[in-house]
Amino acid sequence: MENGELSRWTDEKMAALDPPDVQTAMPAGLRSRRRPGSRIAWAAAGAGALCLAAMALPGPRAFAERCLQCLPFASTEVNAQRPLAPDFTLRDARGRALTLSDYRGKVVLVNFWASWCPPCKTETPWLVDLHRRYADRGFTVIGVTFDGDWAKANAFAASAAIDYPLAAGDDAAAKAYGAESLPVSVLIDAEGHIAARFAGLLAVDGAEREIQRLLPR
Amino acid sequence: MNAAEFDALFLAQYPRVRRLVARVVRDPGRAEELASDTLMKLWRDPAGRAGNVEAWLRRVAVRSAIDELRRRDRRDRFSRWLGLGSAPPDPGALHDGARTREQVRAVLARMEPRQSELLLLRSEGLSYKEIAEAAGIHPASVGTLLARAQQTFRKEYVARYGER
Repeated sequence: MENGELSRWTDEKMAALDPPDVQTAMPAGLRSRRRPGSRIAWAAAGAGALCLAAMALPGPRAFAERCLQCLPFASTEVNAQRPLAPDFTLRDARGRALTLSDYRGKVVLVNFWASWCPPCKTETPWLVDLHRRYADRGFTVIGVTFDGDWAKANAFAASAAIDYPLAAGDDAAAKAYGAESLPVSVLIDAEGHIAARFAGLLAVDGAEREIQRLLPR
Repeated sequence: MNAAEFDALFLAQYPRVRRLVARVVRDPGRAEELASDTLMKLWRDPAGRAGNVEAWLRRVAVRSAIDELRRRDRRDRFSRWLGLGSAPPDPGALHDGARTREQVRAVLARMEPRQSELLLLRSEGLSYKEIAEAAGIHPASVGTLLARAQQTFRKEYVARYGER
């Protein structure tokens, strides 16, 4: 299919979203009375309660913990299943090497950004705040800029009071982390495994929960 | 921006944000909640108010709508997996237009969120420059990324529902 034809075909399909939902005009009595998620919520809550009860006994504890991780409201990641974060060595504004694996032992949020990218600028104060609040517990942000011009990157970094390490990104790093569009943030645990990936504007509440989960208590 | 100015902004922008979310999210009540949440995020985020407010609202609204769509899709799949079945369809969903709408939503829910976001912004009638600003991508990349998103959409749609 030619590009123009593909574009028209997609536009035609997407246009189906335009009319208001029939449901909005439906009398309340004809709508589903039961929320579709309610049975799932009850099933998950029941399974969770059973797992928690099983955890009281030493024998089934490990099995119960695995079960809890499988529930939809729990994290499905366990350390052994996390992929290893691709290592990179990039250069900072002074030409010094910044190597990701040197941060092993710390929880790292690698943030791919550029000063021409509005959502990157939006989320920067959140990153500065996270860095400041969790730095003493072994957390750091590493900013990887795709400005291609340290003058612009530094000007923005100064205005946003960025106090975490910055380095200039390259194609290999962008490809390794799927940073095709910006911003992208990747959370890496202390053992160097990828624990979470955030494409687009950072969901800061979710990111903070993950950071807290990875940091030592 | 003080509270009175924000009230005025809320009243001016709410219908547009709600409409944008309601195109994606099936439940109109939920669409209203997400639209309000989007505007409240703007209130809490000084950086969002400092730049292009409309682009910021579009971006946050579209992303929260896609997140909701994907959550619902996961929940439906989990429900089917548990053998619980899904909620009975609304009579309105049997209507042809509504069926296509649900199909489009299902495909968007399974695509990469960034690609769904581009298609939704494009279907809002935005220019490449506006799409770039709302999606946070370089304007020169919009055409390529959009074409890729359209290809993915068509491939997924045809695989699920055939050439219709």
